[in-house]
Amino acid sequence: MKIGFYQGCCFQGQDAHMFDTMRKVFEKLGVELELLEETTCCGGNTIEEEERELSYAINLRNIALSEAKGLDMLISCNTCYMVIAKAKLAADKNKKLKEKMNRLLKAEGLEYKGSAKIYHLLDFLRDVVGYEKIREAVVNPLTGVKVVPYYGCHVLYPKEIAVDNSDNPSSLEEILKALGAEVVSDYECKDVCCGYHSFYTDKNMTLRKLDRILNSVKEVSGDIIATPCPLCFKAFDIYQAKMESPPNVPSAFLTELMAYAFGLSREESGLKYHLIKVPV
Amino acid sequence: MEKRNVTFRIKRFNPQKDEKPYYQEFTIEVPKGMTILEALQFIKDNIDPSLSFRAFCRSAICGSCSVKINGYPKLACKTQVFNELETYKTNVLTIEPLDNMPVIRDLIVDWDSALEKLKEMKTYLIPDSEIVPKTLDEESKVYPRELKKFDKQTDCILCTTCFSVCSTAKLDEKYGGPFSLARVYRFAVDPRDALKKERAKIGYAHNMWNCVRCNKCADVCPKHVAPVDAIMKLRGLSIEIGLKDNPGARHVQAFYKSLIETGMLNEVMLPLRAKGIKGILENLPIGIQMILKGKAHSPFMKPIKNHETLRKVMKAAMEVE
Repeated sequence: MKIGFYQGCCFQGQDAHMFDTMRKVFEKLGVELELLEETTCCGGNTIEEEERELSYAINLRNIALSEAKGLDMLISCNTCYMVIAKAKLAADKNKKLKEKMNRLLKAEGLEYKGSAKIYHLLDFLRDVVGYEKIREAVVNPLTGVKVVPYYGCHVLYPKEIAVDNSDNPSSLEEILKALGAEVVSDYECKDVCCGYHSFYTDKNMTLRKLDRILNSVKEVSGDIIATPCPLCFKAFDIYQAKMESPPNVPSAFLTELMAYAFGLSREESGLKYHLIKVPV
Repeated sequence: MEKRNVTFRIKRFNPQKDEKPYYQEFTIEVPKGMTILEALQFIKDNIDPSLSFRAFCRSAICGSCSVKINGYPKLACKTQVFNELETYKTNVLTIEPLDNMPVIRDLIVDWDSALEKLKEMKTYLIPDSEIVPKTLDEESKVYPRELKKFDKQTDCILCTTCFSVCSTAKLDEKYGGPFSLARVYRFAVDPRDALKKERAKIGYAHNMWNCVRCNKCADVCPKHVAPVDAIMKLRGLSIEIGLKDNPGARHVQAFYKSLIETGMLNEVMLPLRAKGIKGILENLPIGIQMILKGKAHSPFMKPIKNHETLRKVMKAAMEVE
């Protein structure tokens, strides 16, 4: 099958290799990712502070680009997912808003219909691909690796757009189990925000939040923290490296671990590029 | 009627007696429809009268009975036991006091620190003498379209559930907290208020830019107030009244500039735009580390395909706003 892939800002620039990894992972699962090249940054939940309707406009445009190709859309960043899902929810609920936005999109010959489904990595893997198919693709199971799942906020909160039960999620655990990992999900800070988005407004606050989370991973003797959000991953890897005394907890973006379990090398899976060394 | 035996694992603590908190289990027969609050009351009435918790209205209006149920905070009076058993696929529910506030006893927390901020932040109407009549003979009208702006925020029942999950409130004592900042916004857009948008300065002084927009407050709020939305709007108001020379406002501008210029966020330029030269210097060591790992990219980015037409859409969107 084929799905429109929204790359957002995370899969270009610094982490462009993550897209290559993801494409290879999905190839092994029989899914072709069609890159939606004309889509833009979602605004990072940031331009909304000043211009809410601008955020709706650019994100309905993003969805419209997928609809124009007749494809559903896969978004693999938590924040992009939340922002785009909120725009979709607002337009689907409010006919006037939808009409107003479509008048703007006309300038590009686009129309937001509301026909495309939008997925985050987690619900796409759970509902469309299925855990069984993931299990079947594993050639290098993560046996004996204690993986600590970390969902990140914007796939679970708020409920209106959540892809799993926010009070008791299970999809990430199930995917990691399918990879053969030993999953340790009971740790104190599992639902504490990583602080990524406040890095440029208050760096110390971000580092203190990270310190709490990573130390609680250490408390349960986790080998690695795994997240389906590239921003949380950046916080865990890059910002952790900025700490004065980093707790030295390795981290991975979910599809990197999948790639490794599916038999790709450390380089191809992206694990090689981490600042905090991954011990696999 | 369907009944199930349910074990409540309750966190107990009496500072006059106990050195540290401990868990005590109570197993009772729960009929379908019983709420967590009714279960707690049943235990208190029939098994252990010393069990302490707050409760009053039993109708999700007074905001006093919020507790953590299997780690997730909810109003005890609004939550049915059977629903929780279904969510967690279990017959054991762990009940604990809310986080981020000191425990007075068992499930009762001291929310003074959270509520004191309300006073400091002037979350009450300061009447605008031009608008609010001086005598009671005349009405002070608020029209539906005006009320719409802050109607949602007036539903807050001060249960402190949002405060208890806020990762910023936990670490930053100066931070106003989700529900208090939402109230500041509520009055900032009330047409009868004398301070109006100037109230954004109160939010600014109480570190509103430290809200990381995790949206957890929106998720746990039993009244669907979504404090985070109000905080974001209050930050927007602060930019509107000219509080632009700070990392928060510059961060917003940096996103906007990137979008207009190329359609994508320029991660290399973000530190410079948000924090100036300091941002570059702070990030230089890690930048070098990343280059060595083969991860960094050029600060010059190619615009996305058809970028020109995107600009048109963006400009038009800002005009209609």
